[in-house]
Amino acid sequence: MSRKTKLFSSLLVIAALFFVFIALRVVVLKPGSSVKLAKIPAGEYDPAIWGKSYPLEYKSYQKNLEMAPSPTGYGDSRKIQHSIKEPEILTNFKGMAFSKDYAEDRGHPYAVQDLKETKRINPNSPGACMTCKSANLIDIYKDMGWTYAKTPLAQLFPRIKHPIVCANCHDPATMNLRIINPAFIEAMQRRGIDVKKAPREQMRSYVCGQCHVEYYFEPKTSRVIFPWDKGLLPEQMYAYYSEKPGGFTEDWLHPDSLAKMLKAQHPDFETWSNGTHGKAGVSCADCHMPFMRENGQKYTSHRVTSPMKHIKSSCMTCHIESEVWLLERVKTTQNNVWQLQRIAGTLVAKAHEAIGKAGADAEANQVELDKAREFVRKAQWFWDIVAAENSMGFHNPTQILNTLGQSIDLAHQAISIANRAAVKHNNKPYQQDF
Amino acid sequence: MKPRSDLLRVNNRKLFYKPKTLKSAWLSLLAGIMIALAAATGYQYAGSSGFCSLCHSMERVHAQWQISRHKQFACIECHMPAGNIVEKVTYKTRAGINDLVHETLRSYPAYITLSSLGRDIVNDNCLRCHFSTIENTMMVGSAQSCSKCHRNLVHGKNLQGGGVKIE
Repeated sequence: MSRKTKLFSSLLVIAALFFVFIALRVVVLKPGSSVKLAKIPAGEYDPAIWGKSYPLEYKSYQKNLEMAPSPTGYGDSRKIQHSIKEPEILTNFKGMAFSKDYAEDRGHPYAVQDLKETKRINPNSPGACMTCKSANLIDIYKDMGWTYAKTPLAQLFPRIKHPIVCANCHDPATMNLRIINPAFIEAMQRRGIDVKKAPREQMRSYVCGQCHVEYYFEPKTSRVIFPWDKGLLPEQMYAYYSEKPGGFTEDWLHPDSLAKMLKAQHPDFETWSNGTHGKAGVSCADCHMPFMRENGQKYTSHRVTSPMKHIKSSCMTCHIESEVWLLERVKTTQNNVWQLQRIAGTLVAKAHEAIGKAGADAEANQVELDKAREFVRKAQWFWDIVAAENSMGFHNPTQILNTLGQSIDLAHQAISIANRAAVKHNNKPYQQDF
Repeated sequence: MKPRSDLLRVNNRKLFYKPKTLKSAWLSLLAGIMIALAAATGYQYAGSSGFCSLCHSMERVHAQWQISRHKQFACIECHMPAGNIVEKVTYKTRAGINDLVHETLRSYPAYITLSSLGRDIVNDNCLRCHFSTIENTMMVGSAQSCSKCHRNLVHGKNLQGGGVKIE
């Protein structure tokens, strides 16, 4: 054979091999379209063990360890005190733990560590505080029932070994989604919903809703209760609290205004459920845990974070606009909400000051003062239910702006009632309303 | 003008396959026909929807197309430019290399979306059949694309892809 023939033949062989390689990879040995179910023992909570069978999910879960600001500038997974940007927090939460320590939350893997580090609680705090922080709740609740909620946290700590992990949402035997927080199961039951029968698409929000919600501790038992009996809107939850459920009157007494205050907690689930995405059936996981692919294998991202970090996977499965456009829309909503949130929070702080000033006057109209206290309680609730929520309005822009609008109005009323209570200097109820 | 001696030298060059006999001339012709036939068949097959569905990344869209109201049309009737053969082959080569690279490297995303060029091509193909529907409306000459509203027509909603199956 001549040199040219050799060259030609070897090129032909290389081309054939390349063709076979591509054919094998693309057509014959396709990447798997399903995941093999692994047997994981019921009491196994270590995510690294689960990760051996579900490596892609585990790898993405490990990304929750990252600490970084959100792409929109609102929300952060680093421990940064909210009061740096919103100093009104220090006035509004005066006399309670949130004025001492109100840091941005870190990712799920840090839940137990942050529970131990926060200045808001101490070893004598009720066991109820661990409800949403650890998968070990499963065994603790199984052994103790609701009595764990009253047990001092220090006594439970030896049993709390893992933070929020795979087992908080997955049944190890079937990998089906499941709820472990009894408070969610009970609250849904009172609303006529059996979460054990919920379809998968709803479970993709319920597993998040078992913790990302408003709640309170029942005074005597310290049980965790979700205030949903009248509905999930801020005013419906406020109405629920107004009836002093289980003897629950307040979270704390504000030292300046002497108003009986409520502390709102992260109502992400409630806010989303009335919003346009929630009503359209878009679940929490659809945006926060979108489907991704690695090496052709489809998996659910278990990096629970701002969807703005992966707009293509989260938003663009439905929205055809560009990434830049979508990010801009989210930023616009959040900027508007932030602006009103600051106005509302600052006004609430002023209301506490005005009522405190009027209250210091022994001759002030006490009936009017009480009325002002009720207004500031409600105004702060409406501000806090937004401020404590994690989306800076995105989960439900119109409702949240409405809530903040009401907060601003209520705070103004609290201030003017307090002012006239001090001015009147008589003990008859003030007649004129405006 | 090149000097004549050069041309002669080219003609006298030792050929790679030198047709010494009539037999080898016939064989060459036969090989030529075979290659042309294979190329034509390959091109034809590469335009079939069955070929598209061979790729892992196309499984979902293929399944949805099969139950859609446009199932009588092949993938390429919407997704390839309907111009002349040069335009078609150029686009097919470009798209083919892109698909081949990403399919081999398995670097395609969970949900595949149209590029802006792909969207324009689909849009032109909608109008190839449906132009008369809009020719007397304000939609003519607007910058809207058909799929902006009629986006779920063939491939359904992205969310209908289902989750990750566990076996």
